[in-house]
Amino acid sequence: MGFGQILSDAASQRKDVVVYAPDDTGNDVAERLATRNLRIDHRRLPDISSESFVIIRDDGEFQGALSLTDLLEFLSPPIRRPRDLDTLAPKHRAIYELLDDTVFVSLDRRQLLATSRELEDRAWRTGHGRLHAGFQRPEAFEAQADIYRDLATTDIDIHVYVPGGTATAALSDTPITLHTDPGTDLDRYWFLLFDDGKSGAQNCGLIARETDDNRYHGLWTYNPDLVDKAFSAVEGQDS
Amino acid sequence: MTKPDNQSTVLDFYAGESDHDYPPPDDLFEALANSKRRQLLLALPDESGMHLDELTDILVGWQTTTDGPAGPDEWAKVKIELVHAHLPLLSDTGLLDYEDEEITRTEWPDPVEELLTFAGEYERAAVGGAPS
Repeated sequence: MGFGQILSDAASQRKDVVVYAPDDTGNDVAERLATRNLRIDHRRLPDISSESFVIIRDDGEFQGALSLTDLLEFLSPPIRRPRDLDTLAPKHRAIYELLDDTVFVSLDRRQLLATSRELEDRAWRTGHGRLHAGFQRPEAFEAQADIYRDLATTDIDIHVYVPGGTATAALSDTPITLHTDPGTDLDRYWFLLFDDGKSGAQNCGLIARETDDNRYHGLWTYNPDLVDKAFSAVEGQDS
Repeated sequence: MTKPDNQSTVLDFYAGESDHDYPPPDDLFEALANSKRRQLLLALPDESGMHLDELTDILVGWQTTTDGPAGPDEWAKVKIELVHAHLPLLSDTGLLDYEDEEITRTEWPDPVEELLTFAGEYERAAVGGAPS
């Protein structure tokens, strides 16, 4: 399964979100959620509380509920999992897992960079496992080369995919494996995949494809199964 | 709401209308002596009915604004509580009709309506934010 299939599968898993809010906050919410693969319905919240919340349903089945405050925090790029997701009770984790492979329709370059940084930080803090990062252009990688030189000082097995591969010289003294001919499926994507090599609790991934006007379409995820699939897509292309 | 000329109280005045059933006081106050039941009554729309699933959504949703996210287990728990405890009690008290998972407010006598409104305001003042 290639990246294209992974993205279209995720896009087809559109979820229903019912936002219960007092009259005036509804539009703001719709705007904030517009970049996500969600079908949004609004209901007016009965007067007794001004706190808004959302209900998530998939095929009509209740999946989860959370306060609007929590949801908006979760959806803002760069993606940071709420403070310490790994220590949350399973029921709380489930909500975030439910939302985190939701396709974002559109993000700009700056937002994607911020999101990449969050994933790279996560890899850095973990310090072991494997990290595969794909860049569409040599210049894109060169701008990040220092970060990867730092990451190379950890025990992480790092693979960098740079079509054309002009950055070879900058990495020759590091253990980073450079792939200069990623193949025509991979080189259209900006991707970053991390597998912690242990429990999978730190696994994460980002797959994005440039559309036009410097905007990108794609997904990010902390779902270990999806991260696995993405690794297979990369390794199937270039082994 | 004007007071009649004689010195009767507001309640005497309402009682005179006699077009609604007054729940016995003990039943009424027992019905209201539970925060879930008060929320439930306040969530019901005046004019139309509400499906059990939607009512469950709202009660679970309110909970998340103070307690954090809720998953399907909590949802099922709240629904079971509604079906087995709260709805039968409120239906016996005459405050709602419950049939085929559809819940409808009965016509409440004005004092009941006012008591509920007061309970909602009191809760907001005492707890702040969402009733819990």
